[in-house]
Amino acid sequence: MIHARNLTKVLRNGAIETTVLQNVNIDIEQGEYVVILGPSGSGKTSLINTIGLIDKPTSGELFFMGHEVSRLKERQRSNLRRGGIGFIFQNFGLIDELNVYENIELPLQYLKYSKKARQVKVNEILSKFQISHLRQYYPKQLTALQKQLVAIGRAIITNPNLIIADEPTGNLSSSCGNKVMDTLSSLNEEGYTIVMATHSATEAERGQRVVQLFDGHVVTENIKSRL
Amino acid sequence: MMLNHHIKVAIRGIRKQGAYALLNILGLSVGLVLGLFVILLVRHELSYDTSFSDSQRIYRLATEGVLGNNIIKTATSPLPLASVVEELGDVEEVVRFIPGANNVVQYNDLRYNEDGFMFADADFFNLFDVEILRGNLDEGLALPRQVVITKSIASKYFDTENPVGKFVERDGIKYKVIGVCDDLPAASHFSFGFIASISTIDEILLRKGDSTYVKNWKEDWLYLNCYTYLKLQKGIDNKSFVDKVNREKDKLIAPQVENIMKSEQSTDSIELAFFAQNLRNIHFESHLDSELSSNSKPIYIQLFVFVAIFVLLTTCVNFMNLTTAKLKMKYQEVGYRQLVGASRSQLIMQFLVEALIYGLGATFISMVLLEILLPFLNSFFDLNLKFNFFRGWVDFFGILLVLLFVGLLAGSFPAFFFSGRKPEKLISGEYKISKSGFVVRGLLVTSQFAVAMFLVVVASAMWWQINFIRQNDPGFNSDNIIVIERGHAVRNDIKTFKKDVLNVSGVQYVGACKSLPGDDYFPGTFKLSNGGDDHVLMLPVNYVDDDYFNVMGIRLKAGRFLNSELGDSLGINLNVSAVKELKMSKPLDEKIEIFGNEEWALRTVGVVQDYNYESYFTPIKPLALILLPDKMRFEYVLIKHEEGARIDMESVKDIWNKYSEGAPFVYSSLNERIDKLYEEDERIAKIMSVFAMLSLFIAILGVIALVAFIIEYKSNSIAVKNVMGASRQSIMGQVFSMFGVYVIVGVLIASLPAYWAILAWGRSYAYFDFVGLSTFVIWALTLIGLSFIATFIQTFRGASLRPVS
Repeated sequence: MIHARNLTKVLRNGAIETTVLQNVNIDIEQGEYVVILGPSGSGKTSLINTIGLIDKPTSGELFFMGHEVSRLKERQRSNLRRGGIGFIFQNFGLIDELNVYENIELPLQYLKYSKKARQVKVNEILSKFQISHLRQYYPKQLTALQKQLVAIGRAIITNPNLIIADEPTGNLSSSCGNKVMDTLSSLNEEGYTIVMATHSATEAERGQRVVQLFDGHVVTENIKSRL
Repeated sequence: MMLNHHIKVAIRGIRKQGAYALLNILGLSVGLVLGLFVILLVRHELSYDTSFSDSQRIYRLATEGVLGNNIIKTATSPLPLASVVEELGDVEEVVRFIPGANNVVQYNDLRYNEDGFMFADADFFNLFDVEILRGNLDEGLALPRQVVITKSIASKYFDTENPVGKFVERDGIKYKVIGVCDDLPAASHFSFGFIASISTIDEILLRKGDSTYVKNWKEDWLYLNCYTYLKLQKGIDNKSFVDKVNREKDKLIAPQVENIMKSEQSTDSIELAFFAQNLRNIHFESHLDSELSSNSKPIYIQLFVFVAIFVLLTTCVNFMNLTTAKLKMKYQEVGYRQLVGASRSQLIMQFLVEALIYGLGATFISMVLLEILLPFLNSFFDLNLKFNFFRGWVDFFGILLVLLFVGLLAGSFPAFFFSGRKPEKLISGEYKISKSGFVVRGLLVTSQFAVAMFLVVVASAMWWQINFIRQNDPGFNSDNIIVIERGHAVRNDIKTFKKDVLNVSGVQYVGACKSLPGDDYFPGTFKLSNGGDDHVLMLPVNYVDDDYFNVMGIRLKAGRFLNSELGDSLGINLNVSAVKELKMSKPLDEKIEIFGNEEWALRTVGVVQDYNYESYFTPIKPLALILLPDKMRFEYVLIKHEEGARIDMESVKDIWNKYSEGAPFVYSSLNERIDKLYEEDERIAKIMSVFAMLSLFIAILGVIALVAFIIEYKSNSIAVKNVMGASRQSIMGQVFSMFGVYVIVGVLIASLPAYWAILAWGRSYAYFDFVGLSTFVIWALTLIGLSFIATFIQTFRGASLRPVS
């Protein structure tokens, strides 16, 4: 589903050049749960942003669902992202002015679903994560775990082909983190393709495959599930 | 469209921001109030004289020319002109009217002084088609002693009775009311309460025994006594029409001029020509002698429009600045929305809707504010504006358009600013404002401060001049003088009346005169024989009594004041300017003839110092003072009292009632009357002051937005400095130094235009006192100080920032 060849990302700031990704090759198939592991500054976020079509690589090729996407314009990438990729962030990324129901509903609104269809889908998600009772609550009134569950609900409401999760447990206690990891695992079981970035080796265990990054290089690829 | 969603988010966002959003909305509403107020004002001014049908074809014929040494440019014209115009045949209607003097009108026991009594041609209401509410005017005002009154006059005198067929009395003549018409709109260049038939004038003149007038007033081409209006037929060009009129009139004036030349043996030139003024332009463009009301100056309207547009623009700009100041939060939100699937157009829509919601809130607040403030604004500015949102669709759509414009303008910048950013930068919070973005914001503050500086300085200069007028010595002492109007009512017993009033405690002198500052002075035509070299000259004349000089505290230059006991009924006092103008080397030895009457030679008994007998708008012109002849009508009785003495006006009134045969007792202080001359300028100064304060408020708001932006922009470095132990002062200093230069530049660049504007404004005065340059400095320092205070308050909060994570 995703094939990266010799991905390189160089950041330029005036005269200073920093190479954050160097010759990264990675293949992710439909239904896989891939964890990108690495310490901070290793290039996890850059890689995940590139795979998630948020960012462009400086060189190399990237195939997403069979299309070469590394040279696409922002508008074209945005069109591929819309409905195709769901994002989960470390700091949840909920809109403060919208309540739980509306936050989850938001992607459907942007995709112009009818009101009826939106209702059905949002209610499905709410009961799936057992947060129906929170539907009128605003992000401020939620616990961190609840916020992340809402964010996950929002990410999958469009049935995306790919879920990108960047340190989804970074702002959570370990028990809440576990709950989030459980949720991601069950989503993977349902068939969602997940790419998650983390610096925690324990969390990385939950994935089917771990890609270890250090200073922008892929160090090892643990093909646990394939063995 | 997701309209619901956008509206919901906008409203919740406003609630969340609280005071900050309120400040934002308030700023926008203040701009809108000002905008709406100026729209009302401009519309009122533009609506002048548009209520009459075919007003674009109605013209007033005014007169210009030379009479002896005098240049004439007046709104009036000679009475026989109308018949010439009529004979040319290119006109639908010609109407003349002559305003009557202020006089008492009586119905049963009700007596009021009325200055809106006019005498007009029979077809007056055909040209000025005011709606006739009662009575039948098919015949028009054909017969003498007929009058049409306005609705408000009808209710003043007749209450609920039907006035038609009843009689009102004025100056001993009974007028039959034949109709009631609607009141003229306030936006008219003339006003009236009564329109009487012009043929009544013969009767009035006969009663007064002015037989020469009766003979001449209708035929005399050199007697500019009436206002002539005409409606051209469709397709007739007014210029060629006026040329035709001027050619015709030459044939008629020439014989009269020739006659005068012959009888006076004068070589002075007498030339008159007429020109047409469109009815709708009179209020804006006409500034002639004998105007029917004081007309507007287009410069003021342009100034107001300019200020209003600018204020609206700057409030929009402030709105943009305030909305984009809290960047970080907005950045991330926009980034998340992009990743959740928002397209660029959807994001733009969201910002525009948000701005429109702000705009709607601000419009609502501003309309309520305007509704509440308008009565105050009206009385403060002495205007009569009406605001009625639901008056018509035009207003409704007008306001909607303004709202849309403001909303789109205010929302466009945040909309395009945010929606064009890349999501990865937005969510990482790494996005940096470019230097140019900061400079643009700074320049906006510059322009706001420039306008604020301009307005406060110009307003200060106006008040300075108004104060100068009040404080400056006009050459006479206007303090402690009470003016009783229509003094004429006690003419027969003026001596005993004066004696009685002098007995009232505190009264020092009692005098009488025909004209006071602000009045038109009767132009007397005089002939001076300078050893065979005759020349004719028009001099303004004031008729006064012996005590006038004491009352007014006029100073003598040479000779003595006029004194009836010394037989000065054929004496004259001139002011210094007149002596210069007449080139009299030994004025006290010379005699001046009244033009056209050789037996009347006046002896110059004294020369008085120049005094401002008109206003500070005109330089002191030559003036002749002549004792009031017995029969002459005079306007005012003047009572001079001791400093600080309270005159018992009740006892003065009792004395008045004894001699005046029941004429109304109306009095005011001379200072009040003089202040009225500068009313218009004072009003403009008030309006300018309000504008200045508002623009100052908006400029401060702009600084608040900019400081909020700087703190947000520099929050990291501020936080780090805090931790390093930097003092508050140094942090404030840093913030202020980042934008202070923009404020200072704004203040500086406004100074020169302000200086020019003040000089341009001052040109309407003959005596103008330029506000000191220190005012510029003081205001500049004040503005810079205020902007520093705005920084101080906000930095106080910002300076306690601690670094996050």
